[in-house]
Amino acid sequence: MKQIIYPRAKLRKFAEIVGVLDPLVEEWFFSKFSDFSESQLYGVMNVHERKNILISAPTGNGKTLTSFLAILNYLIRLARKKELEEKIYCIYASPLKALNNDIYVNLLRPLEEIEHIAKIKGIELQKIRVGLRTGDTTAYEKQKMLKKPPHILITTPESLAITLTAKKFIELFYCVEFVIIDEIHSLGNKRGVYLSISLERLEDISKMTPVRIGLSATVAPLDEVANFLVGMGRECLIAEVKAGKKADIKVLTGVEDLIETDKYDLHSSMYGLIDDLVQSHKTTVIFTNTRAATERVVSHLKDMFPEKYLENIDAHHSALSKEHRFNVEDRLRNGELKVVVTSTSLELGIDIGYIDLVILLGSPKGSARALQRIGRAGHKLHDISIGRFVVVDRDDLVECAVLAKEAIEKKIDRIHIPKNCLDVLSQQIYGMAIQRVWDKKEMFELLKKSYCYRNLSKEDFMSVISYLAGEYALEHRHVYAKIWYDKETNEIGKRGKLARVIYMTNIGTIPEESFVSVVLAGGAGKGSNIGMIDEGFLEKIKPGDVFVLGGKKYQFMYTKGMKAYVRGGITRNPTIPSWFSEMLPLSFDSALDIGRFRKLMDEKFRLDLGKEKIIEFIREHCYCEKNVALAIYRYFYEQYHFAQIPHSKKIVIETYRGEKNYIIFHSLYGRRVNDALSRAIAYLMGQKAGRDIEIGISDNGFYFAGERLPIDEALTLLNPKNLRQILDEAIEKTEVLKRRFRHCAARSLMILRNYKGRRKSVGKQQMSSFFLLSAINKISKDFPILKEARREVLEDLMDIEKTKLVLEWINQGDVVLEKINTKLPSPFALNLVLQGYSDLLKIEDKIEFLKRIHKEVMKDIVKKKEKEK
Amino acid sequence: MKNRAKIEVCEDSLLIDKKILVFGDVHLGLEESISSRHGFPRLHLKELSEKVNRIFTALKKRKIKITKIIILGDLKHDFGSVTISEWGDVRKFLQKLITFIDGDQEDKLIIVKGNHDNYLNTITRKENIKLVQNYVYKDVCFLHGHEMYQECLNKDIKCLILSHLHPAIIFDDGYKSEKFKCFLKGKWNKKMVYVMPGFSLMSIGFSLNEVIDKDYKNKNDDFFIINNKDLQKLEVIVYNNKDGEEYNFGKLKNL
Repeated sequence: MKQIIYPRAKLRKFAEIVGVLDPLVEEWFFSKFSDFSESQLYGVMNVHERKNILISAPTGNGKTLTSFLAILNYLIRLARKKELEEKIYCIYASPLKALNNDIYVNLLRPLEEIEHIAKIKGIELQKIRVGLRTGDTTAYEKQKMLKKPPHILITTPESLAITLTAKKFIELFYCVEFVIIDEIHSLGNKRGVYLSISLERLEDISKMTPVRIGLSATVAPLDEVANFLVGMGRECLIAEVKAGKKADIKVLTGVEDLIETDKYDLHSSMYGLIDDLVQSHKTTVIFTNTRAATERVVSHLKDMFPEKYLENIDAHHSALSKEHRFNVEDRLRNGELKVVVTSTSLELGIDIGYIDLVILLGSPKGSARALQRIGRAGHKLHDISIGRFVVVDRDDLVECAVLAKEAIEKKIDRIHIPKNCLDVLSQQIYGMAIQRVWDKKEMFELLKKSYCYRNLSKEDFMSVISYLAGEYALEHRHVYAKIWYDKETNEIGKRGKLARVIYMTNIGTIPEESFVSVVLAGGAGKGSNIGMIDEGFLEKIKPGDVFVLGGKKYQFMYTKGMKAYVRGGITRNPTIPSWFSEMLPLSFDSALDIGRFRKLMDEKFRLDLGKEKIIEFIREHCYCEKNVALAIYRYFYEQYHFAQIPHSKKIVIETYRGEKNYIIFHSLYGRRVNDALSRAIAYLMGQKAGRDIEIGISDNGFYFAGERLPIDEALTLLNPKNLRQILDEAIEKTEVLKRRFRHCAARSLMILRNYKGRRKSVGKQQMSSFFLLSAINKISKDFPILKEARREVLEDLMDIEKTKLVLEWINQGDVVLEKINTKLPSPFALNLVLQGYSDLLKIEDKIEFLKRIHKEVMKDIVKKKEKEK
Repeated sequence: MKNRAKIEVCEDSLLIDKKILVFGDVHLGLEESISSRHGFPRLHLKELSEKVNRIFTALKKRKIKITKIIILGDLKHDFGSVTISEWGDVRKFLQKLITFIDGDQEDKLIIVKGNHDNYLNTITRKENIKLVQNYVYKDVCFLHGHEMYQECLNKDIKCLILSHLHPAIIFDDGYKSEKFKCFLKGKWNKKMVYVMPGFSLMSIGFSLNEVIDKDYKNKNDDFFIINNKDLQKLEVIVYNNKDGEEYNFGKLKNL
């Protein structure tokens, strides 16, 4: 289906807006502001006229107030006339729990102040109530809300879903007039998918059709996000506020030469640079890409500059406790912190006070994210955001330079909204069945109104119903059916007395990740705790793997309970990078831009323009300083003369023989595409050669290592049409499918995290899902939740659609494949090979392997015996 | 010499004198102890039955009739008590086994008690099955392996058959690493010993040759009656179900 294009909202006239404001609201507004902001000029009238609208604006443009202004105005009018009803007029849902301050500034304080004005004037107003309902709201507060319903309800997507099944609360929803979805750009995930159905359910419950207002940071594509906001068959306006804060963006390297400088110097000069930047500004936020890096940066800064950083530095990331995070946010607002290091948790609109510098340590992996992060600096509209990219290696340098260019030119990469997620669907159908009895057709039609399920097939819908009704089971009596489905009457309803409790305690779409302590298993310091790794990482490593934690190498041995036992004093190279599981993938759009830059560079070298001219070109193209351009020049110079420069129109395939046979693909399409592409090729090669293949994947390409690598045969077999089928087979036995299956099983409530008040450990969930998966594999390959796990791997984790596109380019000759042999990995290949493998494709039959090993062992034994003789 | 029993390997079990079948560590109920009951179809019993069918089909082809089955301990998993599904599963499994045994003699089915088999007597009493700490046939003594008994050290006993250890072996050629169930066989305390792999389908077992498990085992030297040092002297045998072949990999210490 083609994307619907929505009309753009027009700027409305100042007088027109003032004309609809209640005198109290008008007086309050102009006591605070002299004029309406751009987003207010776009939004206030449209909300007043009850039109659905998506407002996309950079931070600091008064979006939140835009959405509330018209609504407050409406409620004040009612309050003045004493016509306020005991019902919820407006629901405000935000993915953030910690929005208190933002809500205070944009809703509670305005309300207080308006009431104050009214009091002075002797105007009697009915009390307008604002209620907060999140996972932290106490039972007492919920009870209070039922007695005196808030007119404006502040909530999260999860809490909204719970209230939609709570009998008494539903009554308060009987006539909701407005729904505001904040930070909608951060909902391109299953949380958003989930919310999209909740909104349809709300619409079903409410007698009035609530106006939908979406608030977003700069995002693309706007039409898709608008469609996601309003669902199918509804109108929407799009307001795109371009004017934001001015940005001052630069790329910095700590050293002259990123490759010649030894690691220690690189390290100390990078921190030196960061220290200089921090010291010359008032308050700095440093963004890294992983939680592990966040901790590392804090401890390095403290170690290297103990006199400067002690109480005034802290970390903020999602693995830290809520108390810790709130505390950090408070100290930021109070100006007590000089510097905060974070991963992604401070990207969203949490109010953190005045920040004058943002440092991006390592590439933010996409231009939207870069802008979002940089936009955290200088919160007020007319401030200048200062953003500094500090690069860590040469690939990072090129990536950051191009991302900085995109950010300066305000070019935004597109978000991905998952579709037809059957696990989320299961949870929602269960919730709907708890709410009331449904007619099958009515339910299906409601679901299809959500943008994310507009193409939901009847088959998928029915297979979810079958699963929930317990029809898939082998042994009926052991299976806990969650709903009943009457084939005669086509009615669907809940089953079991505990349904509501199970639903409410297990709801949500964010997979539970836990952390595992790493403990020394022997030698000096036996039993001592070294640190933590996340469970996702634990699932990646095998006994014997070497990884780095806190700058030291350890060999993983075994796990026991929630502890991972390791050996220290390892000299071997790491076999697996420890940040792997939480790496952000480079966006496809930004990757293509880097590919285009590479192509331009290739052309310059081919024209033999000379060093000065090429450096000049880089400076102009990337708006960067001379030393940065020089470093980029050197990197490309080496690649050009050693091998070839791969670019947007050419994938270089490099073959070399190291300890193993290596084939390196320089395919700069981001990890999501490379993941899919490499696995498909590896699978085909494995089929031909019958041996296992090691795969290493990065944003810039991938490599294979193994004994036999029949690459040409594999490439002939692969085409855009058979890609999905090949990948379906290729991921069949992978760890990643198992892990995603566990998440999907938890989301679809196959595995209950919480049952009768008892919490199930992640370890137990893992075991359950392991057995569940092997059972399901025997029942049906099309079991909906397994199908969903596969979809999630192929469409959300990987990007099968873009991979298809790349294959089409190759088929049509738009992108050529160029094979070369090298004696050593080329400069561009170095980081990729050094990073180590990400997965091992198992092909060879276990028994064949056994026979082969047996032969070899026998040979050894015979040799030994001969020697003895 | 006429009292020597003949022992051969037969898919995770041993065949004695072509008439007695022995296997151990079935761990019925393991599934339940680690998974939630809700929405979870239990398959272990079904798969175990299939495995037993497969073994007996193969034996039938060779015209071998089994007159006795010895279960070498840990028939059930749960230490504490007999859970409802274990009751059902254990009884079903035992009833199934009995149908495969030829003849009408006493003690067709013998269960040697393992460390997990507390409370098992409530079931065996009902089914009229002999539950013992160890069992002697000719010169062979069968015991689970978590504890040693005086009578098993008798001079007339030439061979010990043990379970409990769940031995497995990891092969790694630098490209690939796989784990296999294995038998251990060799001399110990002047007797021949056989250590059987676990019969359970839920896990392959503890690998004996990987660094990890070596350290792990050292800590638990009293886990098994044969200590780790002596285990190293035993030979590793992997049985290939597909074509019924045995592969002897030589002594564990060399792997």
